[in-house]
Amino acid sequence: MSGKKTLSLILAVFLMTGILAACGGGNTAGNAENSAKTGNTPAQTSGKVEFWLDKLGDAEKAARLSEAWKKDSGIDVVFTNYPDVAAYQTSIQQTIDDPGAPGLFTWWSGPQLETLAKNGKLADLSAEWDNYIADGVSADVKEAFTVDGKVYAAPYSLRYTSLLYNVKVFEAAGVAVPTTFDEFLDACEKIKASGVTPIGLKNDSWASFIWFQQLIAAYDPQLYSDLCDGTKPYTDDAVKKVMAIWREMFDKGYFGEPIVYSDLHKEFATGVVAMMLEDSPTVTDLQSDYGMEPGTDIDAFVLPSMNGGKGTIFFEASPIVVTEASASKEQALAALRSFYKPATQTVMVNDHGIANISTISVDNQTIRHILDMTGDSAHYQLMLRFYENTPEDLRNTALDELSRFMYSGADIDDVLNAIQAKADKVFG
Amino acid sequence: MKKINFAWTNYLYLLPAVLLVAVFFVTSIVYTIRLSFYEYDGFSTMRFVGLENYLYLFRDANFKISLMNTVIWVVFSLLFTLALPLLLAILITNSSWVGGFKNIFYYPTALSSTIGGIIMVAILSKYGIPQLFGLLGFESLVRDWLAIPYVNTFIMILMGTWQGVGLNTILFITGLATIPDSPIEAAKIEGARTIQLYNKVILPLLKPTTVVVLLMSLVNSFKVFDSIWVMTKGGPYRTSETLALTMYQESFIHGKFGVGAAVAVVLTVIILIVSYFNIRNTFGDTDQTA
Repeated sequence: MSGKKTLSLILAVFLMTGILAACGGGNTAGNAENSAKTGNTPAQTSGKVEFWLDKLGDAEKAARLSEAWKKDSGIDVVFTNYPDVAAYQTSIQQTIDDPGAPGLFTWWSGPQLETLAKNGKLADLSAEWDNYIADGVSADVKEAFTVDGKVYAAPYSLRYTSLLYNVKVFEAAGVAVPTTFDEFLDACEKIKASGVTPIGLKNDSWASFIWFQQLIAAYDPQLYSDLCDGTKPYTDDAVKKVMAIWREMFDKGYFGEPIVYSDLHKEFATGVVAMMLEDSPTVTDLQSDYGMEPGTDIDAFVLPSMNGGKGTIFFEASPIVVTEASASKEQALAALRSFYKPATQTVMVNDHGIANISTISVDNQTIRHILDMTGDSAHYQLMLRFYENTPEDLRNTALDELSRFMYSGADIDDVLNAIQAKADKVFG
Repeated sequence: MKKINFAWTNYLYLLPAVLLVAVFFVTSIVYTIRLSFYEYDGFSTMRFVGLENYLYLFRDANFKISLMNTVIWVVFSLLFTLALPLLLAILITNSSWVGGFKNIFYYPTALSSTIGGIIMVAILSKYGIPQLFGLLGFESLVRDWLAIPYVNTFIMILMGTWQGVGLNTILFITGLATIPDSPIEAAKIEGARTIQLYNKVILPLLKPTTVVVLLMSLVNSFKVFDSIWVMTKGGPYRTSETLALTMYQESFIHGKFGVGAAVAVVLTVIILIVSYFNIRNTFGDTDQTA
């Protein structure tokens, strides 16, 4: 064989090898990357990725979600749920720099996400977000996951807080859904007169901010934003005024004693309590645990503004992140790209009451109602909840002080001064 | 020259235990002490801050509450888990159904603190025991007892007593069984009445068991964590935290590993000081009797 023929043969073999390799890699991350760039094309691929979370203790529900996700993505997503938050955080801390780290895990937005992002632990998902938005994820949520101009997470669960009410209790008390804050207070008075506790509270140490944020936003949404970013002090007269309203509601007996979460659900279902300020998935819990029929037994409304403005719906955006150091990072990116496909999100809605995308069909009337309100920008506005919207140190102090206010009737000035003292240190 | 016969083999037997203690215990202590001088959130680079974590602790109102709660736990746990088991042991040994009573009082000890805590959460919630008080006309008591600030600490101590009393009772029963008959019979012949018999003869002879029970209860009450975590998580607003919970809370919930390590060091120093006096007294007594 001449030298030229030999060289031609070698080049041909080299060329064929390249073509075959390209074909063989068609189902891997390389293709997945292309689909990210070309828009909303299905990211079918193969492989396996671990997904750690602390929010899904039900093995059957996890299996259903994993199965639907695999159908949408081709990736075998292996769920590992941690029942204890601290154990979960510690496990993430210990593995996050290792190639054996889970490709996907859930985290918390706000300062906790910022810590991981700024330390280079998370993959930058900025280029991926066009796909998520094309699948129906709200672009407004992106801001909650943005650190220094880059997006480091996608939503695992979007939970909207609204006032869930027992429809039959409202009917028995002759109360209609309030459209103004005064009507809301009147409703509380009528419900109390009918022998029912108007508002139930859960005995969770972290939950003291829920009514605080809602009342502040009902007074003035800008005041809420200003408190969160340190523009206004907690000792501002407007905050004192809102706290006085809250105290008056306690004094008038509109709130029940804080009780165990499961007891609160029981009291709501049995009509001992008329309302509770809870997130949307609570509706599915009440449906499955007590057979409450959405729309008939249970419905939702947003606490009306105190001055005729828009109602504020607070949302919690639990992020899914991709581990930068994980050996299965590419599979994680590909799987996440398919997380917002209809089959997977249908499981999220039906099993968990969580609607991450606007295009999903929701049968549950109450959740549908809540989602409709979140989309009605003429009457409602969305705001990130206090827990993720406030620096961690300040948040922890505020939670303790607001609990003191709720449980022991602590003096308003004492409470606000203590929070502001911490705010001074945090914001400088 | 005299040849020293050094028994290397004896030290080889000790080596595995020494290695395990050195690797898993001593290094942890050294690392914790070092960590207490740093600011560390588990992800960022560690930053040396000197004594700042300790200063932060002693300025923090929550730490003072936690310290006070720990003292309350220690004092009341000692009272309840020392006096009550002793009384029960005396009553049981004089009863005609020793085996049965031993089992009944020991059963709660067989439960883990976590399971015991979960049971108590259900029993003490609004729809548990408080409902009974409501039926008796005490409407104000129909509430979640574990959600009542400060009061819940005493409720949890009683729960700890329920779980801890069994083991100590067994230890006291065993201790009482090992007391020889002759001094008791001699005291009876001398005309000692029941109270004198216990005060002057039985309780002094029971002292070795009492010291063991005391030390165990002391250390257990200092490091109590799991049952509180399950029942109240230290709340509401951190009013039922003990030092062990504060250590966990600061480290794993607030992500302040340096502050958590400082709490661990403070807790260890307190336990060492208290244990030192007890151990010294115990060894002192042993030396006198030897």
